[in-house]
Amino acid sequence: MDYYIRKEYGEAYRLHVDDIVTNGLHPETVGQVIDSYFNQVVYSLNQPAAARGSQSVFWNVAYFDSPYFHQLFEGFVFPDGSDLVSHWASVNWLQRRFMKWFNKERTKNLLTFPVESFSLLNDGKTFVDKDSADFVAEMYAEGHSFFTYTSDSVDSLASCCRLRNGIQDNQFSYTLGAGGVSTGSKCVMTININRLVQNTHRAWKAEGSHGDFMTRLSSAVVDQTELIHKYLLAINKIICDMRDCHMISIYDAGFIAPEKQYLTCGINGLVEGAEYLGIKPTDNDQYATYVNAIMSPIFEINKRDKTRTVMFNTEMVPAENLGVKFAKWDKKDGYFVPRDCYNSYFYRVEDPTVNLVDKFRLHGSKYTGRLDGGSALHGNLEEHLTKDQYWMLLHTAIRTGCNYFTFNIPNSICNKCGHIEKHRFDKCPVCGSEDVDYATRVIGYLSRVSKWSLDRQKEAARRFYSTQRNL
Amino acid sequence: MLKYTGYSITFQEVPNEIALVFPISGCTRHCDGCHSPWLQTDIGDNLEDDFHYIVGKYIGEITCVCFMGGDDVDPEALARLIKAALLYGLKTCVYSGAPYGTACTEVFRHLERGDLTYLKVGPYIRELGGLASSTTNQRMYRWNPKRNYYEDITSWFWRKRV
Repeated sequence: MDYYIRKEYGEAYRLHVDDIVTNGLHPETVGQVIDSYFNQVVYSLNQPAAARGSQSVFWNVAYFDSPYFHQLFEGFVFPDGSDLVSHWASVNWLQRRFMKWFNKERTKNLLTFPVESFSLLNDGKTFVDKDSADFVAEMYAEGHSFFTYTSDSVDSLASCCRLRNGIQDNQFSYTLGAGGVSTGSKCVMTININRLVQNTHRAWKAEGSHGDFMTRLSSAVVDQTELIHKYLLAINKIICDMRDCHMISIYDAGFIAPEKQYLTCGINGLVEGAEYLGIKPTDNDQYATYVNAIMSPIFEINKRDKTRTVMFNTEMVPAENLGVKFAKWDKKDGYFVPRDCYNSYFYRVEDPTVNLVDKFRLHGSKYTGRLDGGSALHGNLEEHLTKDQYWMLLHTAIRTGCNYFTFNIPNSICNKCGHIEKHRFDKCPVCGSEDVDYATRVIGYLSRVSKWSLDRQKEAARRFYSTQRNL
Repeated sequence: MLKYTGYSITFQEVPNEIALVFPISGCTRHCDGCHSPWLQTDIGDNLEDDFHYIVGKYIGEITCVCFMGGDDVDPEALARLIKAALLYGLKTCVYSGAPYGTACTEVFRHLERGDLTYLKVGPYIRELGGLASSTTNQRMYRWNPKRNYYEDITSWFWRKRV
């Protein structure tokens, strides 16, 4: 987009934002023209798409700091021979303008997509591109809700709620335009960890509790993962057959190749399994041992089974619906089910004793180090913080090794007059109506709580938002 | 002895800080409409036993330690904890229900000026509201080392949210 704007309005268009460039009754400035492009893209992509059961397309926007941008797009050349990286200042200006524009637009309409991620490189202590990190803190403080990805090397990218893609080679990719970042998973198959833990524990007890339970659990995970890999390979075969018959148009069009997509082993019910064993799902050594007893074998088998044409990864899956189904099925079959919707996090969403720093630690390298598909921390906050506070928390993320996170502050929408504010109100400040709805993330994207499934709504009500005012 | 009933990390109580908050039990104020009436009873564990362990767990991630509730139970112990927090390089805050003027006088007797970074005073009065209410009787002060006095920052709580 930057390229075309430069072509249209000159290389230094960002310095002439207020110049009038269109004729007619309502002449527009460069800035207004750019904003109307943003508007067009966002609103047309948020329309229902027939091929997705009349849901809108799930789409992501990635923002980069300077090191990420340079590493990813080094050597990229436009058809006219000009390169991309030397225009960093211009691209950076444009991405910031979009972010600010989108944040403002969300007070007019509840826009579910895009899910945004900002990638920041750190050196283990602080951020390499301080200016970008500063901007991230500023945007959070302005009430924008987006994800931040941080890593100490430009090794992988995340988009939306979970996906983390290793950037192996720097070849052209159609999905992001350039940079060798092709995203996606062909299929996710999820292990119900709670049921697996309980089955294993019963078997272990029935056999007289010999040996270490965690070792036993690890070997049960190995068996289950191998089984899942077989199913996934079968699905992969079907997908490849369909591709060979030219039945999958995105492959034919060259948007993505099946070899570049993962076969994904999902995880759900991790917290519930721990609770069954009497392990507290908080930051403690016992829980870390438990998590690693499950994650390590999957990680190893994923690595072992990788071939030239298939790759596996593990995800802490969002389980928008599955979390509810697992709980229902397990309850029916007489398992220990502590809640109606299994957690998608490493902690209990309703636990008030797990503070935000603990959450960063639970989504940090100690617990997620073996989770090659990624996981996301959703820091639920009751109220917006200041820029300084966010700046501190961004550094907490570096220190704990939590590489993908966001902050959620429920937005409120008045059902009567449509007024939206980026914090919680019980009574509309404009029209005084008490018919209000809240919007937060189910998992990755923003949507109205009243549109969620019933059990998911109950889970949302139980979510603990830190920092209630205790004045 | 100061008894505490758990701890939390909060962002709103002390403006612009990431505060480790200890609710202290045994509060004698008995404000009508108190947000945590359980702090008026004698419950919890000895804070001085666990203070270093808990602060040590979060050092680096927090900027301030805040004591809330029964500040008048044992001023000497409270002063010791405030000094200990300073040694960790942290700022300090006391939420006191004492009326303005008499607030924490006992604690201050055991402290240097400026040892306490933030101080909230004033009992909770239901009709006037808490700090977030613009009619509140409660006041939040912050130590200003350059000018050597405690400045009133209560209005920070009334700032318009985004």
